[in-house]
Amino acid sequence: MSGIVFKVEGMKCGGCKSKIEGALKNMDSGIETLVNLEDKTVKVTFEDLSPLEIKKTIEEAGFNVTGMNAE
Amino acid sequence: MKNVSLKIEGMTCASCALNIEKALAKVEGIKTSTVNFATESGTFEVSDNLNAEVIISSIEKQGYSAFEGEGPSDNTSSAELVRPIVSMLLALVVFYLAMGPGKNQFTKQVNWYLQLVLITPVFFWIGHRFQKAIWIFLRTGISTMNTLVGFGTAAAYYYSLFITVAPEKAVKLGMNMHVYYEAVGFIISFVFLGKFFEEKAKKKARKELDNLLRVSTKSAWVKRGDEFQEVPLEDVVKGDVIRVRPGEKIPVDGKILEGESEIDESMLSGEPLPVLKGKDAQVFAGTINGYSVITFKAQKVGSDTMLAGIIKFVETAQQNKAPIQLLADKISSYFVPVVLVIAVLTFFGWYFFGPEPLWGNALSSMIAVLVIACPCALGLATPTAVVVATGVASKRGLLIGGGEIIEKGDGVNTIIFDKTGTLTFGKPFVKHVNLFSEKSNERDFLQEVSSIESFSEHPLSRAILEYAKEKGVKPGFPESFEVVSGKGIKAKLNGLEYFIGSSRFLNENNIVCSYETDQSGSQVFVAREGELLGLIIVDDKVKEQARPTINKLKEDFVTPWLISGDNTKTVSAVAQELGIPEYVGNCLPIDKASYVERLKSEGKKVAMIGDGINDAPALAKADLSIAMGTGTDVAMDASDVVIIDGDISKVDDFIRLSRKTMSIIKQNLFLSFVYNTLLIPVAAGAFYPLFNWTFPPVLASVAMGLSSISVVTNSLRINGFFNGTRRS
Repeated sequence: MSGIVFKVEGMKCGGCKSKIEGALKNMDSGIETLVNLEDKTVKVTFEDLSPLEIKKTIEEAGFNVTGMNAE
Repeated sequence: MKNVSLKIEGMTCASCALNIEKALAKVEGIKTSTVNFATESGTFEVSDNLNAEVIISSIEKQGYSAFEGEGPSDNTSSAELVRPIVSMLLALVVFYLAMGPGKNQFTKQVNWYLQLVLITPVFFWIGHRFQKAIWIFLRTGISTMNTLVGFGTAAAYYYSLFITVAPEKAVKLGMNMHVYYEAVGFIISFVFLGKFFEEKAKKKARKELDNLLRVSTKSAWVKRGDEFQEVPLEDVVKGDVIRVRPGEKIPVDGKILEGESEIDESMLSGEPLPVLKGKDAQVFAGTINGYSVITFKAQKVGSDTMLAGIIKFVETAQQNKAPIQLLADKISSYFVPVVLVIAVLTFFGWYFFGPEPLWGNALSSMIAVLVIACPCALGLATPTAVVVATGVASKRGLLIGGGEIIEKGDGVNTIIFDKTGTLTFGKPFVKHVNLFSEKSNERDFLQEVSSIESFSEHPLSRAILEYAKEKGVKPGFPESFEVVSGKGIKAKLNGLEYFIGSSRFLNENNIVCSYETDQSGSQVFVAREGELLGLIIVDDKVKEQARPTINKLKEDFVTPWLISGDNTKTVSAVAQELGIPEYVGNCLPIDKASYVERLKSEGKKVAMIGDGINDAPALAKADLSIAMGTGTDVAMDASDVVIIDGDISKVDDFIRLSRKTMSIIKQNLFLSFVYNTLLIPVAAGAFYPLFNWTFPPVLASVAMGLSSISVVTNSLRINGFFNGTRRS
């Protein structure tokens, strides 16, 4: 299990939140996502995935990843 | 507001086009109208609730016919030839009777009646439109070239008819006992023959556009359920999966899903060699699939395809009038009434001051004036040249936005180039890696840098990743990373802190970075734990055609400038490599635009060439703007000329084509003025007192036909402009 906090730009509301959560769930059902609209962060806990893949998935959902931080 | 396009038939010269425009200006709901004589079409900007029928009926009221869509325009050339041939044959028989060996075969009276019988169908049936033109003139005051021919032939016909039917009365009136039936026949024949050749030339000029239209297919093999079915092109929607077999045309724009094939894109780029395309490559409607089956996903259909865009562009271009043509139109509209006045003056001049036979000389000189003055050549001078030039250009992958643009292209003496994507490929590559620490090796260095860069979408990062991949390095991933927009990246990898970016970015983060290099390119510095580790220089390749193009432009007395947003060092290196004396670096989009304005204020005619959104403001400010078709849509929308395949050498082609076309137009105007204007006094008999010269009406109609033919033929010379200039 590893956790990464991504800095994500372009999230506005609950709709954006569920869009990101849905996209990440699609990659792997075991993934855990915690979106914080106020901090503009997405915390992802996952196994057997590369952070790059996760970043790409968030970007493909229509958001801009400007940073990340491993916990 | 909406636009309505119509095909219009029955126009004989530029004044017809102008008449229609004038008449429609008075119709409520029609905001603007542009009628093009050469393409026999018009576009009208009208309010949304206005029916096309209203425009059509207003046009028909002026004596022309109009259709929506294609209309019955494409009547075969053989049908068009029937009238001139019939009228020519009848005129020849009349000529045989009037002046040839048939002159003495019958009594004069019988001979005249025979001629009358033969020429009447020519006058009323074949020459019907000329009689109609007189009525239109008398009713509305609208005059065209047909009005002149109508008055000329009617005068000759009715004079002869009177003499034939009532010879005694004619003698009493002191009329010249000579009939002019052969003149009626020949004038009408020559006008029709001239029209026929003109039509043929116009069709040839229009063929280019039709060829473009024809390259689109009518149907496509689309996946429906589990199998592929042939469906009409209109039913293809975005997202459809389409299969194209070898040799077939690609129906819509899209992205290849499966298969690899060589695709002939010559209709888009003008390049004869097919291009190899595989998975994920873009394919375009109208291009031809090579040797193997491909399957692709439709992305743009209908009017959104590149092909549809090009066709629309060319069509609008040919509708737009060059300023020089507006002048011709204006002259044309004054010309006819003036000529009518001169004709009347000629008649009375000969009648009161001329020699015997008074009636005969007066009439024949008046007819000659009316016929010689037909302004059709004047009206054809500009549109035919513009149509041929834009056609030739589009065949070469060069889209020109109309006659106005050609006129501007002719005057350009300064061209500003954008660097990236215009003179260079716009695909940066790693030119040099410089390690500052002796302990590290390049492989480890690249491993660290690429791990961090793999999280960035910046073009420089892409280039570094590409380079690392070539060296067999597999990037890992950092624990943290952060993009500092426009400056660089801050990241943590294996517990160590990295800064990657410009020297300024590193200095801002308290890392001493004062390394100087004279190498051109973008510098990417890498620091680890506050210590400078290395430098990567990323550069862009200059396009092969750039240097010869710059040289050619200089030969053509055009001064090249290089203005770029890149650092001055890189800009100066590229400028030196290409021999561009004037260059500016570090320019923001607005700076580029203000440079354009500055050069313009110095009295220069400035063309700007660019490919990106950052060039759009400068493109909009320039006298003339040229965009690379390989760039963004924004840049293309802001520009007058589009080079579809981004081949920079076509810039010079455009300048030369514009100059050639303008010189042809000027020759055309001169040619038609020689015929139309200089011969008027000759026809009126101005040289009679000096040299005893008179001008038979028949000669006048020959001269008039010749003027149209010579103007059109002269325009068609542009067709061969690129022959022999093809580059390897």
